[in-house]
Amino acid sequence: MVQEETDRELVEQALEGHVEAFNLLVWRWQRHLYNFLLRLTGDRSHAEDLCQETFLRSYLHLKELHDRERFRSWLFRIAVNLYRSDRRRRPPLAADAPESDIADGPVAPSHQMPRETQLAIRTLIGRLRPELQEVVLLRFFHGFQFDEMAEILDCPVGTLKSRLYKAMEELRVGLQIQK
Amino acid sequence: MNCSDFKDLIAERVAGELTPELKAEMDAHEKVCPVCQQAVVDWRQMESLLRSSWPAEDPRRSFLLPFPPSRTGWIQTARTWFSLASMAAVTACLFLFALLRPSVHVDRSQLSINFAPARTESGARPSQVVTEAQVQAWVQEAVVQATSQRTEKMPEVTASKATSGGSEEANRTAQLAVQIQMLKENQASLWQQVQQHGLYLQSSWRSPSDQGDLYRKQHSVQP
Repeated sequence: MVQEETDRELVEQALEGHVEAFNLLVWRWQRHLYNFLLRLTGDRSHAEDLCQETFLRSYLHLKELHDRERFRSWLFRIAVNLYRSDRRRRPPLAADAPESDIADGPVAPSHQMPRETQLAIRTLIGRLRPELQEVVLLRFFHGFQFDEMAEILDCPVGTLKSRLYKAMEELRVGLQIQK
Repeated sequence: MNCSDFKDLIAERVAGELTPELKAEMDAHEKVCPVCQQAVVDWRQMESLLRSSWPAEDPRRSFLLPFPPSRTGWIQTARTWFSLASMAAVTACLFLFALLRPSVHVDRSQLSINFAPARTESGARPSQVVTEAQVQAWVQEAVVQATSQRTEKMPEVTASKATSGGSEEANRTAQLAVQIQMLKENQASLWQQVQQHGLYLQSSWRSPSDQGDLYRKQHSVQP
């Protein structure tokens, strides 16, 4: 059985000039990153553009990655910074703006959760304040630990914990109101 | 541990990321605090709901970057092409050398570089290059040979003259006449050899056919 190369090994190979190694990193993380940006933006085309820009920037600044074990966190940090910059430039969406890309996305099997509930939760997540939304997505959808989230969001762990708790309260209240 | 501390660690408790010591402390608090107990249950439910509400989807396109050829690959390509070009150049040089067969010849303080002629006037490629010095050497050799032949014939001449009672001066004259005749014969035969074998002189840039004439003019040799 062929042992899969670690992120660290691929980063080192990419730094030596083997661009194919970097494309392996892209192949490995593009689904995670794309879905993170899709859940943040709610727009597929927008998420694709940000994803492409993230990989391009990470390749151009790969030398600045000191802890090569943490390529994934560093990649998501670039994505978050790009998303924040982009959000500042774009006009805010109206509260009742249709989010068709969210509704059109794949749904879990109906025996797990009704489709309406799934869409309601997605809408609630989309309406969270951005700093709460980022924490919820990184923690529950992409499995980051708090120290990694602190690195990605450039924020103390304690603050992140309180944000997560607050987000969970808002979501729970929102779901109870809808019921 | 109080409820505030419990609330800070509830996410890690549900995810199982606590150290054994902290987990023991939270377990102890949970047993005596129904509010925190319910908070853990609610948290687990909400987390489960969130995870299953939004399955991941595949991107519509790949984000592999359209990289230019890597530097390493470029160097390898350049090395390969350089090796091939070098081999081709060496082969071409060898081919040209075999075709032209250049030779450097210094004759009478003049440097001349000669190339093998494609064909002689008769159409046959000469099999050998003969220099003027070689022809002179052959002439000298012929003289020596003639001298030796003369000494072999001398007793016969001397005997015939002695019987005729001629003078010593007449004998010398007869010997010289024989010697000159033999030299002429040898020179003529030598020049015939040169022409028969398609040899030519290499003493100037003139054509091979003219070189023979040049040699004859310079040395008064009759073909």
